[in-house]
Amino acid sequence: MSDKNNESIPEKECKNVNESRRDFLKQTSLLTGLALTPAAVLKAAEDKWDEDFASSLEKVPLKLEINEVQKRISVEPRVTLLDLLREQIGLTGTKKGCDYGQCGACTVHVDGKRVLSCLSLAIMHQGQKVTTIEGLANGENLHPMQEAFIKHDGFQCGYCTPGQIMSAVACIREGHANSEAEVREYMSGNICRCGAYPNIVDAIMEVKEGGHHI
Amino acid sequence: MKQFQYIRAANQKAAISSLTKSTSAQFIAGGTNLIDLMKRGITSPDTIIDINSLPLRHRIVCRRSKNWCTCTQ
Repeated sequence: MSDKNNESIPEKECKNVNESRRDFLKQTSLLTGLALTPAAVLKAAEDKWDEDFASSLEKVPLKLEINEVQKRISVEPRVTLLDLLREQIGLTGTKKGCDYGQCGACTVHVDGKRVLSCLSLAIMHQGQKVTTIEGLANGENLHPMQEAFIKHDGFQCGYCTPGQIMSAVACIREGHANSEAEVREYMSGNICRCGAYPNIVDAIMEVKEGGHHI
Repeated sequence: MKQFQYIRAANQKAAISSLTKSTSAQFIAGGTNLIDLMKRGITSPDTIIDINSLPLRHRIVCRRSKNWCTCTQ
């Protein structure tokens, strides 16, 4: 039956069928390629914006100094500084508490200022210096604030402690540790579920009054 | 969080023109009122315009209605 059919179609016609199939494949793959190109890339290419733009579906190169180490990483624009530190860099000392800026567990220093890393996109910190709890100690010597937290028992479960310590250091550097009331006010962004507040305040006051260079 | 396009605005003019190019673009400065809403999916801007590098510290007046924002310095 099939032999008979083949015979009935002239050779020339067969060739045409093959060619058109090849063309069809070429066309469809070209169209698929175009369809898969991110719209944002096409749009940016069309508009030729002079801003430093990052395409929405691509990873973006990012240069950061983390704990005095230069890092070159590529991140998606939607990655928060917290997720970058914990999941890409592997610095899990910075804790993810609420992930909505309510608890302060994720506090880090960016260019010396305290920042909630969960509410900050990594890409916003191009070229800046990030210090986490891991970068506070000087080698084997703990930072005076870390020593004071241990001495005064400024924690129970310890989950909020990295954020508390980063905030406490910034609090003194900002000059907002002149009284217990002031410390409580300027540390109010850091929540401690275990209720170690009196001990945390004691630790901060001791470091402040000890005149340590922090 | 849904993907978005990130633009670091070079100057005020560019920032405003980027905002008007999209219907759901948002400025970002600190992020404390935007990123948590984006995480929950309450808002999902297609473009985020970073205005941290702009010299806006002195004085800025911003009037906003719908998606229009006029800023004068």
